[in-house]
Amino acid sequence: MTQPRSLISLWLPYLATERVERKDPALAEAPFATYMESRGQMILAAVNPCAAGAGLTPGMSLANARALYPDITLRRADPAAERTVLESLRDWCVRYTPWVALDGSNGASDGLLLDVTGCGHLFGGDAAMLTDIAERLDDIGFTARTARAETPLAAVALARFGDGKTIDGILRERLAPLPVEALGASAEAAAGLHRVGLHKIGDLYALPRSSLATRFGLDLVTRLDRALGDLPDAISPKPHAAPYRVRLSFPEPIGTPEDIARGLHRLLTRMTARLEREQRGCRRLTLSVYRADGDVRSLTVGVARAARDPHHLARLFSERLASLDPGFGIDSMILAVPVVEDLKAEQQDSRLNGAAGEKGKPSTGRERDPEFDRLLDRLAARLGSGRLLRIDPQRSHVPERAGRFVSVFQSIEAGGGGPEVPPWPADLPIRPCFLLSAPEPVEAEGDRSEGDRSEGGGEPVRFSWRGRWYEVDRAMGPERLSHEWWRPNGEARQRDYYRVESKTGQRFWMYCNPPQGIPPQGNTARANANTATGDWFVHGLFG
Amino acid sequence: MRIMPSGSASLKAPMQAGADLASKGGRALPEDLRRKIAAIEASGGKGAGRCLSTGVTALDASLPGRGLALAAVHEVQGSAAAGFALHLLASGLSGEDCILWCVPEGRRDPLYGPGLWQTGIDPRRLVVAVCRDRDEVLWTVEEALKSGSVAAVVAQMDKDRSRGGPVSGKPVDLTVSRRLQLAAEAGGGLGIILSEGGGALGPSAAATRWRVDPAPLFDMRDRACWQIALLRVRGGAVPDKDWRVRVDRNGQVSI
Repeated sequence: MTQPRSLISLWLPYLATERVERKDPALAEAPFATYMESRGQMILAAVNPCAAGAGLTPGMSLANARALYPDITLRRADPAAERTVLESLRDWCVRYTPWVALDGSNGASDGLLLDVTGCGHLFGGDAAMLTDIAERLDDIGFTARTARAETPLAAVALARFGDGKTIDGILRERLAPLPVEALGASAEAAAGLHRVGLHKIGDLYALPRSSLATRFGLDLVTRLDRALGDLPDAISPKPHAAPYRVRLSFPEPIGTPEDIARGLHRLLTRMTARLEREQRGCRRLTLSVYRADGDVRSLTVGVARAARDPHHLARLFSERLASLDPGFGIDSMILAVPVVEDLKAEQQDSRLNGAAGEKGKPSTGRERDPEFDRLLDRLAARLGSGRLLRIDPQRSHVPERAGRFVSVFQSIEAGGGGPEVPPWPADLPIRPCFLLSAPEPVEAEGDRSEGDRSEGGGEPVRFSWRGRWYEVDRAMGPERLSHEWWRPNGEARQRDYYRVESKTGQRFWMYCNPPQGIPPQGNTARANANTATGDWFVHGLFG
Repeated sequence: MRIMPSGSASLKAPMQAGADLASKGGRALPEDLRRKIAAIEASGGKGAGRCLSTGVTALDASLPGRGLALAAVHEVQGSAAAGFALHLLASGLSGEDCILWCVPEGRRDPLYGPGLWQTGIDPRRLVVAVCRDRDEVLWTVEEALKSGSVAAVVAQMDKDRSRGGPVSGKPVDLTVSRRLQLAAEAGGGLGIILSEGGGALGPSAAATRWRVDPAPLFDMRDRACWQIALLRVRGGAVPDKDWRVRVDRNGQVSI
């Protein structure tokens, strides 16, 4: 005799609002709703319990909602993000059973369906499991209504329309008091049933199936049969993807670095053989070693472009294998590839290109030399990928933004403009090769009383930077740069840049904040007195 | 890459002993022996025997290979060292060669893209490696040079730019420079070690040692002006004069 099926339905009635409230808990305290556009009108998509208490319902127009409750907080609905949340909850539910499916019975997916047949006893019975699920979801900020039944449809109906109290009992009796909408048939069918006085599922039991089907559609009858278990009903869980993991167990614990390297090499060979078969390459690799004393240590390396060359990958690890403390010995090693990418065979030919490049043909512009990428991988394995930087050419006239640094590994996907497009305008006045990470204020002394210098600027006579005094010999400028007023957090002041040369030949790129409203050339003695003694900054150094 | 075939007079001794020999009795060596030594050395690395133009004819002329030797390490001292290194990269390398620029953590004067662009270096082919300490800088430089996949590796050794101040970084000693030199020979790239604070005066395996200080500009619109002294040349005579090199706004170099 087969065990009766056991299915759990999870309904997350406030998924859309709780997704936002988890990031911003203050929203949960007051009426909060998400809205979307529907047929040229803004309507509420989801409301939180507080808003529901105030009489707001999904589908209500935004204007009505505002009239009912003027202080309501509104956010635009984001169905894609809601689905992502639900999918990650589905993946999380795999802790209970491998058979978890998204429940999309009512159009929008806001529920999960778990086939827990034979799993309940692992969690102390189905009732304990239901409590466990609800509590854990509550801990991470989701309200869930749960129900258990022998068929998927019945579980869904009980979760959404039942009281959620009983979890056992005869299915027919438990379903009988539920409204007919619980079956999830079309709205017309439900309305038709209500018209003839059939309000509860139990009312349908006694009626002949054939007449029900002719009057209200076959779908209703099928659903009833599926709910009662008279028709088979399967759920469609996420296909199980075989993880990229290989394991090596040792009969005796190993501990020497040579043995670990050899074990790693065997794992890599097996892993890369599989990657090769599936035409894939890895972007990240994690090696976990299980020590004899029960401790687990792991190492992760990343590569700039998908790779499956075992020698290259072994070299990435070799920099850091020494930091792996084997303790009393290692029982087993597991190599996992959490991130894989498609890698077609022709990309592997890059070695030949590299060899050709060495013979004198330089590698072509944007396509970076794969050998160089390998070098970057090795450097990143020791330094960390955040420490290999590349300049991101930005078309911005604010100096700090024009030469921003980004990680090399980011830029590979981003690409950017073509090689022909110069990243900065050609007529840009001369810029320093070194820009201080932050403008450094200097102590400036200027004797303005004797009038202005020939350049017409307000540059100081001498200034002190990093503890040394520099006598200003000459200065060129000013070049006035305005802030980017369209950026909310930009600095709101203009800057007059000067190229300042000291008596000893050092050249600085300095700026001062001019007083607002005074043009750079129309200097008065008073304005200069303000600037010369005021805010002067060293911002860059010419080589 | 603008590469000049080295003259037969090129002598790059891979061993310090060889360098000593060359400096002591370089002129006394018979010409054929010189050539033999050069041939033995050139067989070792990929870029051996090839040179990069410094962009200044007078400087090229005083170097043994009529240019800055590839597959070698060069030291540049002085507070304008970094600017001069950029100039060397811009004038010597083609637009497609990759450059690795190693800096120790905590330096507050990072490279600036628009400035590099004006100097003639496409910032998109330059990668900056921020290293935690001095050892990591040296490791990165060695690894990069050895790999042969970068045209040039530049290392800023000092923790900070002290303009004419005391030496803030430990100078690169003979052992370290020897390691780097071997790595450069294996990979065929150009290594440039910058010590802005002043740097070592002791022995070194580097092919050349320069001292570059800023000089007042002739014209305020010029790009740069340097006082350049060649302190050491392996396999060549040290010229006893300095140059004042001017780079004007269009990148034209004159003396």
